[in-house]
This record gives sequence, C-alpha cells and structure tokens, in this order.
Amino acid sequence: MNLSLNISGALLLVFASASVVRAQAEKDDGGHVGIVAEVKGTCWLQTQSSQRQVTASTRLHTGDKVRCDDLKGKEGRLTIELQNTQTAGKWRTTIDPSPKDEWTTIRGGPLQRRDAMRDPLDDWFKLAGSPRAGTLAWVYSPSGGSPGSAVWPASFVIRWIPQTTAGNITLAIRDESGNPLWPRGKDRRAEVAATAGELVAPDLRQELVKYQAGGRQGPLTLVVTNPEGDESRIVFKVISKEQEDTLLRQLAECNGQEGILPYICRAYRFRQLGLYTESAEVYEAALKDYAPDSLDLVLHAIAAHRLTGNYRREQALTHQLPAGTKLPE
Amino acid sequence: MACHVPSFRSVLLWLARSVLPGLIWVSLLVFKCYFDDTAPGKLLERAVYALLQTRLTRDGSLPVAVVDISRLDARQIEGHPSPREQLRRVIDAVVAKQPVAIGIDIDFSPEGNGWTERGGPQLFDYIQRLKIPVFLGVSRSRYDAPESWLGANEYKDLAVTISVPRDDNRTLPLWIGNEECSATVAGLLGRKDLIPPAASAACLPSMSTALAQRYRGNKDRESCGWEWFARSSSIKPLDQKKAEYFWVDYGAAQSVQDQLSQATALGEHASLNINHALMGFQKRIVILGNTQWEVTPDKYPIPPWEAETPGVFFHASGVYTLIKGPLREITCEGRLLLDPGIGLVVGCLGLLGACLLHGRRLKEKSAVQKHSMRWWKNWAMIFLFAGLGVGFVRATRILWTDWLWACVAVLIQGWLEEHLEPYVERKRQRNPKVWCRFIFVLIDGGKE
Repeated sequence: MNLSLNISGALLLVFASASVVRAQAEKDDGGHVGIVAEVKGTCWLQTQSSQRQVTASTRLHTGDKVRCDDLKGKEGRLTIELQNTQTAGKWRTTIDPSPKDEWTTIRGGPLQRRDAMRDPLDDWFKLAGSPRAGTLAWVYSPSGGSPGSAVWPASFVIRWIPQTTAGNITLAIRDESGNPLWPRGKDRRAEVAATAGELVAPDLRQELVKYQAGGRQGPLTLVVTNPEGDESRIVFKVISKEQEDTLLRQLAECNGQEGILPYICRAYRFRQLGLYTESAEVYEAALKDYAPDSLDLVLHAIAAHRLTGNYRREQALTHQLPAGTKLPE
Repeated sequence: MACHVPSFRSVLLWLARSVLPGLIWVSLLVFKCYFDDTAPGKLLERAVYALLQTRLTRDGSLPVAVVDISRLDARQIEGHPSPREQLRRVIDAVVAKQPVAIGIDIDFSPEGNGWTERGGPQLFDYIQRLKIPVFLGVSRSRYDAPESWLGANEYKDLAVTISVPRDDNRTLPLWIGNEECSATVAGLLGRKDLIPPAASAACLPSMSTALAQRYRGNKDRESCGWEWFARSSSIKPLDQKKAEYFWVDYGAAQSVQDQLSQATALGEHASLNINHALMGFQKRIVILGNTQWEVTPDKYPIPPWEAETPGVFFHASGVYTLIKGPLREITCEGRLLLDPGIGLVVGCLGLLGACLLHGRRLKEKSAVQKHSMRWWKNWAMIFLFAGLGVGFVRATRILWTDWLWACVAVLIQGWLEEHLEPYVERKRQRNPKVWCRFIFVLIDGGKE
C-alpha cells in the first residue's frame, strides 16, 4: 500500500514537474518573433544567457544575435524567417558569413504598413499596366483592349470611339451559352448612331443586375457591328455580388484618404477586378480635378487607357508628354 | 567728347518717355502672372532655368564624388559572393578612404516578402557599427511610418529618400513628413525662427539633406534674413504627407560624371578604382549608385539639356547645391522691390549714356541716324538688363528671371517707337489737342 502510494506520489510529482517545465517552455517560446528556416555550415545563436550552434527551426526572440562562420571552405549561411507583426506574413532574409565579432541582432518582427493604401501605393510606384493584348479595339467599355475585363452592372455604360462615318452601329449581348441577354429576343439588336460614342441603357443595366443576382458572372459577349457591317466581339465578365460588396467597402476606405490617394486607391481597386474603364475614368478625374499637370498621372492614365483599348485618348495623352518621356510598357 | 548738360525740360521729356517702357514692363509682368501657368510659360520658365544653369558659378574642387556600382550583382548568382557581401566589400573599401559620409542610391525598402537581397538586418547592423555615417536609400516605403522605411524602428536613422520628382526635375526634396520637419533643415538653408520638431515627428530626410548636413557638421549656414525676399525652398502637399523642395544647381553634374569612380567586388576583396582627378575621398561625400545609363531604370532628364541621366547624379547635384548654398526663388515682395530697382538703374545708366553720346544734338540728326542710334540704344539696354540679370543670379544664386521680360519690354518699346512715330506725327498735325500731348510725349518725346 505504502509502496503504491509512493509510486503514485512520485508519478504525480513527475507529471507536475513536467507540466511546469512544459508551461515554462511554452511561455518562453510564446515571445518568439521568427525561426531559422535553413542552415548551411556552422552558424551561432547568442541569447542573453548562452551561445549555441543554430539548428533548423531554432526559435528567434527579440534581442537574439546570430552569425555564421566565415572559415574558408566552411562558410555558414542562415535563412531566417521573421513574422511580420502587422500583416501576419513572413519575411525571409539571409545571414552571410561574417567575422567572429559581427553579430546580427534580431530586432523583433518587421513592420510594414498594412492599410487601405499599401497595395495601391505599391502598385502606383510600379506604374502597373500591361502590354496591349490583342488587336486595337474601338469599343472601350466593356474594355476591348485587354482580356479579363469586367463590368459593374449598376453603372455599366457601353462606350466606343465615335466613328466619323454616318450610320448606325448595332449592339447585342449574349450570355455564355450564346443566348441573347440584351436586347431580349432572338436576333434583336440595339441600334445607335455611330457618332454618339456611348449608350446608357437602363434596361441593359437591369438585365445585368438580374444576371449578377443569379450568381452568374459570364463570360458575356458584346457583339458590335459598325456602319460598314464589320462585326466585333468583346468578351467580358460581370463582377459578382460579393466582389461588389467588397469593392464598395474598399472604395469607402479610399474616400477616407487625402490628396491624390483617393484616386490612386480607387483606380487600383477597380483595376484589380478588371473594371478597366472605371479605373481609367478615375485617372481622368484626377487629371481634371486634382493635378492636370502631373506627369505621373498622365503616365498612369495612358497605361489605364491601354487596358481599355481607348487608343484615341491614349494618343491624346501621349502628345501631352514632354519630349523624351518614356512610356509605360 | 564734351558732355552737353541736358536742360530741365529735356530731362522731364526723358522721364515722360520712360513711362512707356515702364508701362510696357508692368503690363508684361501682369501678363507674366497668367502666362506662367500656361504650357508655353512653363516651357519658357524651364528654358530660363536651363540658361541660368549654365551661368552659375563653379568651384574647381567638388565636395561630392560618385562611385559606380553597376557591376555589382543585385541578385544572387551561383558562384558569386552574395549581393549584400559585394556591397559590403565596396563600403569597406570606401570607408578605408575616409570620406565624410556615404550615401547609397539603392532602394532598400522592404518588398512584399521582406528585405531585398542587398538589404536586411545584417547589412543595417554592419552599417550602424561603422564610424563613418552611411545613409541608405528608400523609395517604396517613403510614405510609410519610420519603422517601415527599412523594416524596423532601429534602422530608421539610416533611411533617406532617394525620390526624384518626375514632374519637375529642377527640384529635389529636402524631407518628407510634416511642416515641423522644416526646422530640421533650417541650419542648412540659413534660416532661423523655426521650432524644432517633436521627437515623434516622422521626418524622412532626402539623401542630399542628410549628406550635406554631415558635410557641414554643426556649422549652420549664416542666416541672411532675406527669406521674405528670396525663399530657398517651398513646401508642397504630397499624398497624406508634405515635402519640402529646393532648387538644384545641376552645374556640377557633368563634372561629377567626369570624375566617376568604379567599384567591382567579385574577388576576395572589392576593387575600387578612384578617378585620378579626385586624389582620394577625404573631405568628400561619396555616393554609391548605378550610373550605367543602359541598365538602370533610375534615370531622368537633367537640366539644362534634359539628357536622361542616372538618378545618382541628381543626388550628387543636390548635395553640391546644399553644401555650396541653396538656390533661391524670388518672392512676390522681392520682385516688387527688385524689378523697379533694376529698371531705375538701367534708366539712369541710359540717361547717362544718352548724355555722353548724343546730348541735345539728337534733334539735329537725320532720320537714318536717329534710327541707328535708337537701335543701338535698345540693344545696349537689352545687354545691360541681361548682364545685370545674369550677374545678379551668379552673385546671389537667386533665380530672378524678370530681366528677360525687361528685355522683351525694350524690344516692344523699340518696335512701338519705330512704327508708331510716323502715325503719331500725322495725328499731331491733324489733332493738336492738349490731352493728346501726353501720348505724343510718350511715343516720341514730343517735338519742339
């Protein structure tokens, strides 16, 4: 009996000690800001209390120091992975071999702004735009200049470069199965003067809203025939309701910015969804209302119009550039 | 030649005639206010700025040198030392030459997945241990909070912006932040009366500012107290922040290019070929950057000839400008004081010249002689204005361009005199009313 009690007591003591040690260990590791992702050769970790050789998966804490041996032929190299404290993403960096007294200090998780403007600003400085895809299109809403274009049903307007010839163009939209979506009825087509340049059709918007509400995104095809009888087809998608909700929230965030940032932000958000025409319109608004002489804005507007296929506006803006300005590629 | 002392009446007539160029000049200045905002106005402004760039004074010895690092790898290549190690070796080699400070014209801002291959904590820690200050360029993160410039709060003091305005390459930023940051450059620009920024203020200095401040040390430029007359910088909104810009003297850019040094780092140690014209880097600022036009996307048209030039030469020109003394832009108050003043000087010189050369005998001259003298007089005034204007800019580094408009005013006056005089003469004979006399006097000085 006594023996069994002693064994039970000893086991309890062992379990309790193990729990304490484990808890202590968990507490220690709770503050780590990164790990060693990869080690080549000999590398060292110096903490407040000790110095030891680094192995893969070693946890790194703020204030720890690392270095790798630079012995000839035995150079060490570390890859460390630090947690970004704001984005929850991970940043990798390497530690090259260095002399014995040169340590690199772990400064804590790296910080990088993560707000409504992070991605739009990154994108702005890269002068996002893509090479013109396919042939020059004379219809630019929906965008005929790039694949993957989308439309926003509630504000959709068909736009084209006004034709100089008299006569009408005909328009029709077909769904992914080739059935007429607008105007309703087999072989029906809307007719409008080729010189008009745009068509605002409330019935078309209603059809697209209904189409969107049905959870469908397309692709849809706009069939356009010019006065000479040449037919063009522009394939586009409709943004989903979820995308629209997210977009509205993002646009509200954009509106909270100041200066040129709302324009940069809105143009970026539109472009991310393939709403190239809306994106180009934002840059046009910025040029008109905010900074008519901004070279950066003109360059971005040119890139945006390329995506829509509005080559006439692209050319007009290009002529505004000072001689020798490099165009976005 | 004896000087014929002009009569009181002829002086009065001369003064009356001076009203005409004065009126023309004032009209032109009013017109200029509107013209400045038009595209031709901006072109003309740029042209004048370019002209002045070629006329600013030069020092023989440049305080800034550029080392080309385009031969260093930006990405890891198998068998080569890492890009960071190559850069470090070059920095070691430059530090050994004991420059005042070093700037590196590379964007060390973190990218989406972390630090660049050249940047990172290891390089930043190494630089912090150096005795010679080294500043690292940031561009992508320049609008972010200080802890984001280089990825951690501990590195923020190394960061400098290397942005070059694309819409106006005549200026470079002094800092990005808020108005408080203006006080950080007061000593550099010879300004006072500014309250130092709060410790929490996020002021990202430009490379030119940081390097020029290190060069000058604690020696603040003597405050001249004429900011009201000619300002050395202007603050403009920049997204959610603000930035202060200064006008750059690009006159040294060509000399810096001619004195380019070269660095390579493929062997055990960096190879640093210092340009023989420099005789070392002591007492100089050194900027490391990619100067190879063909391979760098970081290039912009540089005044005065707008040739595309790598950005590192812009920063070198910025440092040169701030070390030598800022260029100044004349204010409205300054213009109101200076324009009539110069006009008065030219007018007096004109009067003296007229007295010495022609005196009252002008009336006795034939029409051809009068035309010839008028032609000489006008061109003498144009050269006088141009000489005074350029001399003023050279001496004061104040970008005063109204002398050009004064020259235009003289040309217009000459044209009016030439073409309106016969017309006025006819009118005088037909309509000798008293109220017309003033106009006659303005046009032709009145006939006896």
